[in-house]
Amino acid sequence: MKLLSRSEELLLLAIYKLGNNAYGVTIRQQIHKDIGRYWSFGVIYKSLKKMKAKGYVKKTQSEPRSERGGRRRFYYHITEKGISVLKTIYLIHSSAWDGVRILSRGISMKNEK
Amino acid sequence: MKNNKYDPPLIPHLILRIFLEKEERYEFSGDLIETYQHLVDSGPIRRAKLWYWLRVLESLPGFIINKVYGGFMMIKNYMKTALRNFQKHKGFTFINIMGFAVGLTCCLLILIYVCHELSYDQYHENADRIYRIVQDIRTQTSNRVFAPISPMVAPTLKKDFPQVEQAARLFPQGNVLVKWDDKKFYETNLMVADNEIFEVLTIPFIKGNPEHALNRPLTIVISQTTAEKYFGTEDPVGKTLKVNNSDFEVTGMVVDAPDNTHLKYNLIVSMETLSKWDEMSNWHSTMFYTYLKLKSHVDFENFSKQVIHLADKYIGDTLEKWGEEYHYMLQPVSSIHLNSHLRYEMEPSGNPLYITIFSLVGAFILVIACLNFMNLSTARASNRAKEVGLRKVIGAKRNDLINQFLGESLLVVLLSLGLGLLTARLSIPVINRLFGATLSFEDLMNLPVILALIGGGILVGMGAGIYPAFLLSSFKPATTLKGVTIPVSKGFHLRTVLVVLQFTISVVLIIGTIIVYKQFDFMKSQYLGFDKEQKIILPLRGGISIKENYETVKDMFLKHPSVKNVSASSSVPGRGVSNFAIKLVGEEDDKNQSMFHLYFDHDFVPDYKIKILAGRSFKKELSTDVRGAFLINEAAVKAFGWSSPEEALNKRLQTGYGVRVNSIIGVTQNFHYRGLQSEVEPLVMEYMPDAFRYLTLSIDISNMNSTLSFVQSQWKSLFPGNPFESFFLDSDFDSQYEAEEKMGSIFGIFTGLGLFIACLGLLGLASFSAASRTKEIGIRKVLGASVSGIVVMMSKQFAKWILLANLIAWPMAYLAMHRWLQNFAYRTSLNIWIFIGAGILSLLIALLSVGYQSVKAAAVNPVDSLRYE
Repeated sequence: MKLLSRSEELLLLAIYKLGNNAYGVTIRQQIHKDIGRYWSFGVIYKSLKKMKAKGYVKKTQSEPRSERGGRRRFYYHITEKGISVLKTIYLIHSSAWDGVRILSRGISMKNEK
Repeated sequence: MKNNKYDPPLIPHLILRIFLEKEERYEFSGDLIETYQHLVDSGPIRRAKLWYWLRVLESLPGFIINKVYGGFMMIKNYMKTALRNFQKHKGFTFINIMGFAVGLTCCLLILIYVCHELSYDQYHENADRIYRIVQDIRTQTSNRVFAPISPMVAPTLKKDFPQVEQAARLFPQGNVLVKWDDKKFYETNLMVADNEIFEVLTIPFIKGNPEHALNRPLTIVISQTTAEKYFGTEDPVGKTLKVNNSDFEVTGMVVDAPDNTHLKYNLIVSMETLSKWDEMSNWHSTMFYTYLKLKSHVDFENFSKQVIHLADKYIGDTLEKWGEEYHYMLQPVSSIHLNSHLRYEMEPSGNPLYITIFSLVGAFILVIACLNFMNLSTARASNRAKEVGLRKVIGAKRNDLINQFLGESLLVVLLSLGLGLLTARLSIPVINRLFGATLSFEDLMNLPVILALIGGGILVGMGAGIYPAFLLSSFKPATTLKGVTIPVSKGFHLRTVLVVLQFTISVVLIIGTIIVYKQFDFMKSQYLGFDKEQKIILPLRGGISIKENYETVKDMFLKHPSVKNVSASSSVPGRGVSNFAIKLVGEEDDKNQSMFHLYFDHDFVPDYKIKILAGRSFKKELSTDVRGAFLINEAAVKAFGWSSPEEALNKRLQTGYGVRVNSIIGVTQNFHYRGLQSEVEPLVMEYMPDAFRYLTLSIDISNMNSTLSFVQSQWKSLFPGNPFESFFLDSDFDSQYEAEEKMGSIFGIFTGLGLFIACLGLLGLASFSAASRTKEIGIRKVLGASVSGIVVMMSKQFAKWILLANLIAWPMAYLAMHRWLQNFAYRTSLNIWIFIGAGILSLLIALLSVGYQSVKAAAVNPVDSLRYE
């Protein structure tokens, strides 16, 4: 199985946490909450589109809403496949970080990417 | 709810529209608006707007890269497919591009022609303030408008009208002999002009001072080409040119007259030279073209009303006595070429009708080329159907396909445009020769025209490509992948109408060409009433007069045994004759008649084998015949109302150069002293040596070379100062039919083009019909039809259309050519066989052009065409 990219991983986690309320605006806010900065919508949509094609998320739409200028909301939901890929990445992370746990305190966030 | 504060800013919204597909845009703008509204509620609106802007802008780079990269990949693919298709169907592509290129070439040439015609005399500085003043001479019964007028008008304008900034006169001279050193040429474009002409018209000086170049008598300004002709690279200023034996000082060199001016000057002589001529103060002369420049902001309407009667103040009394009125009128200088058709124009005017006709023809050709292109492309759709199906299955949207096919037709159009430009460039010299035009390709080479061409090319490509693009992109993948289906066209479709129309035009053109040539041939072969064979003409130009010694001159040439006869005359058939008022002595002078006059010696009538119907011709022995007797022709007898030639004898006429009264001593049979376009008009002939301008040598052509060199050496000893010139009477006479010959070639060219384009249309139709009947043909063959049977079946359909086109074309051609032939007093007959011949020709060409298609369609193995069923 192909590994998730870091942005995809963060997006999937955000969608998971948002449960049934994951759409563009909330996802972006969740990302901000998680990592401390906003991503551009363009980046978010691009990754979501890719993950939808891979089958990690699915998309449903709401009734047209007035606060969106009469447009529908597009909700994203994590799929079984998405959950299993998250699990895999978690396992990979934990085993990969296993040997370097002692040093972790000295590693800054900047080097993470 | 118009201006809702929750409405997002417009511009970023529009930016999104450009870069995002509908679906993505929908989601993005939804999210944006939701947050935006939230921000509007929670803070200042400016912050919300800023936020909106930033969100759109930060996402843009990603969108752009996506779009460009994806687009680029697809364009690469489209190009590849397009080129593969071109290669696979080389013949078809060639025909398609050629057809378009030919159409575009025509349009380009027409564009050049129209631009050229419209640009006449626009280049003068302040051209909108420059006018030519012309004169309408009115009597109670007639009015005649002259382009050249009295030399008194220009000074009067300057004196009496404060609105006039400057005025100048021009007096053209034909046929002067100009000499410098050993270089001698006859010049035709010499003008006598006021120095002010350089202030009125734009004639830039290269050397010399325009302010006083023509202020003194006997000064001359020459064009650059003329200067090179006489002086080579030497500085012409200060040199002395001999013009008809007077010395003129060259005071300036000006740029050559451009092609787009009606006054084509080569040499300009100062008006001061003529100051002692009494004609210069004659109000009734009509010899001087007069140009004027108005001051700026002059009320033109008012001014033009004032000048009408400008002469009345000076010569009103005289005019009243004569019962005449002089009206003066102004013409804008740039309108002269196209819109002025007066007496004695400086050069033949252009015809605004031609501009309209040519523009229409150009537009028509372009439309036809587009439609043919459309037909051909649509007909080939079946070849692309599978590609369309496959692309759709893979996920191409309809828009993508439309773009692809539009792009392809654009490619073809741009290729054709390139080819068209090339052919136009190459064919301009040919066109110039045929039309006697002076078009130049460089007229096209300026930025607006180039931009217009590219823009036009794109438009035409879109226009021609849009129908095939929509048709092709509408194919359903499921059906096209299964097999080819082109809708069978039944009934009378637009494309059929077009092909019939194109062939109608072609047939009209074919008939036109045949008739023009037939008339040309007819005029050349008609007996003229005199003998035009084996005659060499020597024009006496550059001030030669043989008034006193014509007998000796003639004897000098007669010394050679091959020169059988020599006669002297004022003109020869085919060259002009002068026109003078004529009056029968003793009758009331109410008819106001005028007749053509020809002057010749006693040898002319026997030499030209002109028949005498009554009386006698001039006799050498009778010295009273010289300036003392008239001959008239049959037409003149009729014009005077006499019943027989005999009745004319001994009647006394008052007429001619210097007005003399003499008796008619003989009547000649009518002979064509002018081309067969016109009727033989009344002619008066007189024996007057003062007017002799031509020598006619009847020769034996058996040893031409020695005769010619003898004549030449005699000429040299007789007129050492003048270059020897000669021409043959018969070919010179036939050169009057040059216009008809030219017209024949133009017709021929258009016929070829028309046929070519029409055949392309037909070919498109044939391939279309073949494509849509593939299955029908397959079934017919299975059921036992032969190849030839199917070819006949396919051809019959086209033959029907061509016949229809012929039926429409015949009456049109008949009417048009019948009208054209009315221009000629002597005309060929309109024979039914011309029409039938044109019909057969068009049918043959049409069948040949579709023959290949039909045979190909008929020869297909039914297994292939029916396989998918």
